[in-house]
Amino acid sequence: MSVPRESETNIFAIPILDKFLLYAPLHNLAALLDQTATRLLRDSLLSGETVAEECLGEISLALNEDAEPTPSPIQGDFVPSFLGLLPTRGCNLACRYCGFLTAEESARVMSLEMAQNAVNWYMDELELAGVSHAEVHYFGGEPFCAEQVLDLTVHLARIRAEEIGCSLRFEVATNGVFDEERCHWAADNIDTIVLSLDGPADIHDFHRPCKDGQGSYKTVEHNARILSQGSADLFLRACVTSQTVGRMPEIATWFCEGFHPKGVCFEPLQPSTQSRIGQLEPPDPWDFARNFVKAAWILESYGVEPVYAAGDIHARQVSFCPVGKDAAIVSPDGTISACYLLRRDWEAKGLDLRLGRLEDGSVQLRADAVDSARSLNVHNKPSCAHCFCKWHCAGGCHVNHTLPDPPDIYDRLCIQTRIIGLRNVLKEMGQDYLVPEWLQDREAVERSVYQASDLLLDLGEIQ
Amino acid sequence: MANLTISAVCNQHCSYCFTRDHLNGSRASRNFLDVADFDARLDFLDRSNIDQARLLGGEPTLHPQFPELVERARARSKKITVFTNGLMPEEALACLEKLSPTECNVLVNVNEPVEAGEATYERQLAAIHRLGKRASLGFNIYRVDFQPDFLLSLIGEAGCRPAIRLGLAHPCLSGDNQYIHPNQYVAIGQKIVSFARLAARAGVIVEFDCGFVRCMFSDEDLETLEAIGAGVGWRCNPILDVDIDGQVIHCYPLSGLGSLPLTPETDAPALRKAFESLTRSYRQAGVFQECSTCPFKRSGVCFGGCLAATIRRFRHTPFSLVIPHQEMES
Amino acid sequence: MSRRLIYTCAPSIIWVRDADQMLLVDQETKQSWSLRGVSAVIWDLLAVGYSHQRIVPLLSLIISLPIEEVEQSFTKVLEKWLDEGIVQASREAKDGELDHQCGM
Repeated sequence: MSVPRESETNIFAIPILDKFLLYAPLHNLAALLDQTATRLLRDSLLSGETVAEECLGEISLALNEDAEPTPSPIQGDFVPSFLGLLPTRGCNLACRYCGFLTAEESARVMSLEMAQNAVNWYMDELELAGVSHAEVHYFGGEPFCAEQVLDLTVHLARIRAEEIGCSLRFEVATNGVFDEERCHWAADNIDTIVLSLDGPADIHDFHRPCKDGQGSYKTVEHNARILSQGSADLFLRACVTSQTVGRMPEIATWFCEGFHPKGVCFEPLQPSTQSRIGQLEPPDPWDFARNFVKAAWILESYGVEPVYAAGDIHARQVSFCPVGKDAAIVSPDGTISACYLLRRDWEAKGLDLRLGRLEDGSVQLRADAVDSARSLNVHNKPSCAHCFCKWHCAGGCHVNHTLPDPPDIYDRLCIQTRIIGLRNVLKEMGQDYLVPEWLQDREAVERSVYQASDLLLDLGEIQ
Repeated sequence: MANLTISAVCNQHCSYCFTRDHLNGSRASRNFLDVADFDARLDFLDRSNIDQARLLGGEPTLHPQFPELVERARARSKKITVFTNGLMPEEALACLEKLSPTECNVLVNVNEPVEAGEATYERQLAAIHRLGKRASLGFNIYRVDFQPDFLLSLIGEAGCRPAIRLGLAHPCLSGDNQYIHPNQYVAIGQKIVSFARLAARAGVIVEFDCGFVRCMFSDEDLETLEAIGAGVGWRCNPILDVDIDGQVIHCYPLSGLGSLPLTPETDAPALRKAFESLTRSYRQAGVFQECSTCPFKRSGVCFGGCLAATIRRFRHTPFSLVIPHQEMES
Repeated sequence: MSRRLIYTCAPSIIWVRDADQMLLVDQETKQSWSLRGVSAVIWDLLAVGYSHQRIVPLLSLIISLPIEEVEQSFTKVLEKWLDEGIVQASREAKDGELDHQCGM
């Protein structure tokens, strides 16, 4: 029995301590094999001959069964996967690591008519396509700096969703600086709230001061408690720097005890001009990954989901982010884009992620722009072809993460993603107990992380 | 069913205690119920056709005349149920030892040893050991990272009834006690099922107190629980907690909602009906937004969780809307 | 004399948002109301502090009706709530003197 050739590019073997982790995500298969077994399996793949050994035979059988289809880019008509609304780029905070905006950029607020048109267009598209689930996501700036847009679109979307008979969810990413009644409103009306809270007061106030220089912690903490009592799924998002990385476990415990969120996202600082001025550095990726795992153990003991999106091994995707997934993100000026980052950030990477415009109630989408966005996928990232994370991380952010081709080294994102991804696979297999020993052994972790190709067939000499 | 509070005093300070609102706000003139008033409570049980005397506190066994109260209740053929922390005076323990397991059930509420402390735990173990099959264990879940496995060895060591009553720590209306928020119910449900499986293997039955909800368990988990004999219900009804001053409340978490007086004419069914009427409006909601559209709630299978937790979702908003001037005759 | 009309939430009214309704309960009388549709939207906007000036144009966009029609519907809803005791109303003279009134 031989394994279909296409599958061979989705069968990975990564050294973990003195063993190999055999990982075939599209076959939902993972196994820990000793070196002999790994060699036998590799040789059988190369030769096309059946493996004699009993348990390896079972693995061979599993690899021969139909795999999940290889994740593919979307084709055909553009049906928005979700409606993204950018009510404003303005914000009421002056976070030390946030990208710099001109006064003009931050002042612009989406008009109510634009917001109304965006929702109506989206719902019309869903009705035409016969889609039964709608999602509206709010980005910024700070979305609650344009409250009327939220009030209008939430109520309008509900009415339209009921008219066309589809379910509806709302998601917002927010800094949590608003008054108490608005906070209750958010807790009642938004399904998923991603709240930026970098840690206790000393961390949060340093990272995320208000525009007048005063700390925002007191307000955010108060509102976080209100949100935690409400109906929304609360995710706390903490930006991690080189100075705070060692405190991730402490922060995880504090989050769980104080706010019992549904999930906690630890995100390493994305360097920017502002962060450099603020003397904030991203964490060492090894430290980040190790502390993320420690924090994850704590979170999981409380039933809280640790979130590191690139390491989510349940994801099967060709793109890490909304880009290429037919998201329609509407900016205050009516531009419809595939990405919610600042346009000048894409352009700095030679990308144009605009899809079209919403004007006078009608939408013009450019087919070539849609195709271009769809082509931003992991199939077109040779650097990722042999990495076991390719269907989960899918190469990360198209704007913020570019690898040289071919890659000589894994960058910080790759390092931490590979470590966290491997831990997640081991946990899924019930082998989480191996992780402390593995993480303590820097050489062993480097062997796992720095392997140039994870493909089983590319494994060199196995002792 | 009705619970009779005979002591307002407790020798522990559990962070989740749901009598907190009532005992803190109480204007009770005494710490312990008079014997004469206890007789009046027994009269109430008689006219309500209730054959159980369920004794509550604070810590009920601290009542200086506890043995006499038990004797008086037994004289009226009441089965005695005592809700205790097990840290009872010798006289109380000795009086309970004299009763057979069919005459009394002592529900000993225990906390995890690491929380309770070794000395407390040892005292509880000793009391449970002496009570033997008269005792069963109660455990209140007030943290999502709870570890109940110690209960199984406790049962093995102490030789009490192989049954554990699990309770969710519900909020008082003030929210001043430590409690489990409904957002944590699903995570807790998963842990309960794991524990119930473990308990079943040890021959221990898991029972459930009030306020659990249907949606905290998956269909598969419910099948598992049923298969191992751990039947769970989704109820929240007026308990009828009678306090020391003769005021009847729906239940201690809801003491802030008001009380009804216990008079020589009132009986439990009438009180229950009165409380159901008092709380009917709030019961249209549940602990989750989705309760209002849930088929299980609509059909009455699930009550929508603890009413105190439900009422805590409500709020008052003192908005004020000014309509611009209207020309009127002055 | 011109007077402003001020509607306030009745002090004994508490409320909660559910999946398909706003549920209001009068803590004193135990009466309850289920608000749906436009009424629920109005309540939601009032709860976050919308003024009359802002609420009517926004409603007009939400339910896609002309402002004049919305104004009429809005007034009818308020009057109904006043009748039912959900809100209270008072008239204020321009000099700020309050003249409490319970019905229209």
